[in-house]
Amino acid sequence: MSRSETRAAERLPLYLAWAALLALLLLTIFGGYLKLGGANLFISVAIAILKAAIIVVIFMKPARELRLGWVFSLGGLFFLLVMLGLTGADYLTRAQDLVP
Amino acid sequence: MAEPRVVTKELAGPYADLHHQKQTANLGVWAFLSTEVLFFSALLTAYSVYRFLYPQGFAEAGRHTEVLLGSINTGVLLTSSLFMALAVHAIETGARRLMMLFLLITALLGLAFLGIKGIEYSKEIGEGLLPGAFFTYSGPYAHTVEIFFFIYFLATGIHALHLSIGIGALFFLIWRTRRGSFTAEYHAAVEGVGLYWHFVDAVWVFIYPLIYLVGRNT
Repeated sequence: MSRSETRAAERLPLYLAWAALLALLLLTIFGGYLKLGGANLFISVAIAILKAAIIVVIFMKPARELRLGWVFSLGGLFFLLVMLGLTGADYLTRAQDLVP
Repeated sequence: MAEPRVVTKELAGPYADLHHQKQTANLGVWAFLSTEVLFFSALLTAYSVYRFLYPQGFAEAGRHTEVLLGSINTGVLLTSSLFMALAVHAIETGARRLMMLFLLITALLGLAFLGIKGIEYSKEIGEGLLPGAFFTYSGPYAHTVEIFFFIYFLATGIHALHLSIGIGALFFLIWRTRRGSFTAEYHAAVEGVGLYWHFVDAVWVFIYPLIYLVGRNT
């Protein structure tokens, strides 16, 4: 393969990621209007997680320089889950009469 | 014995060589971004708690957001991320002019995002949805609609601030490239700004469905 062909091959995943992101955007808009009750939230959040994963893995490449990059990229996510988990555990088990 | 360290104007501080320096810079940006995740997760947590407490009010409020403009803006931002990734790839192969073009397109898409966001803000403020003294929305859920729009203006405002900083960083990179700063070997700054830009894009990916698609299924 010539150098320019190698470079084009390196760019291909970027174009594919972009196409997948736009397809997922259309899917999430469509999914938002389906009458599925509480399931809509889970679908839209699942699609958002998938889109973010594409952005992180293909555009940001956590291990581009050091494999330790993965630890840093997942560390923030871990503490996000701690925060949502602990706060959720509180609010989900509180008395509901504070709702007006 | 190791090669003696060759000091150039690019190589700074305690680093053995440019590669070592780039690895350190890259990891530093990742560390910064993981603190940014915590910053935005406070907002996300606040949103989750209030949505759990006031589902009807949030659904009603969500229907007052500009879903078409918000969706177009999501596409604009995702496309800007593609050009940012292309810019990093271009400088890795030493294509400096191509990188500048891609950086400029990324910055212009960022400005387009801010412009569209401004149109949304002016519409919402015109409809009396800005919380505080100018909030004129009425109805049984007016109070929770106000809570929703407080979180909306805070989350999108802080996101827009991040994006503005990113646009400034892109123009700084373009200015430095014009002075001939970056090469295939030396471009840690481009890579770092790229990571930041993609991160701000990923944050929007979560803001978008939570703000614009809530309440559309009724």
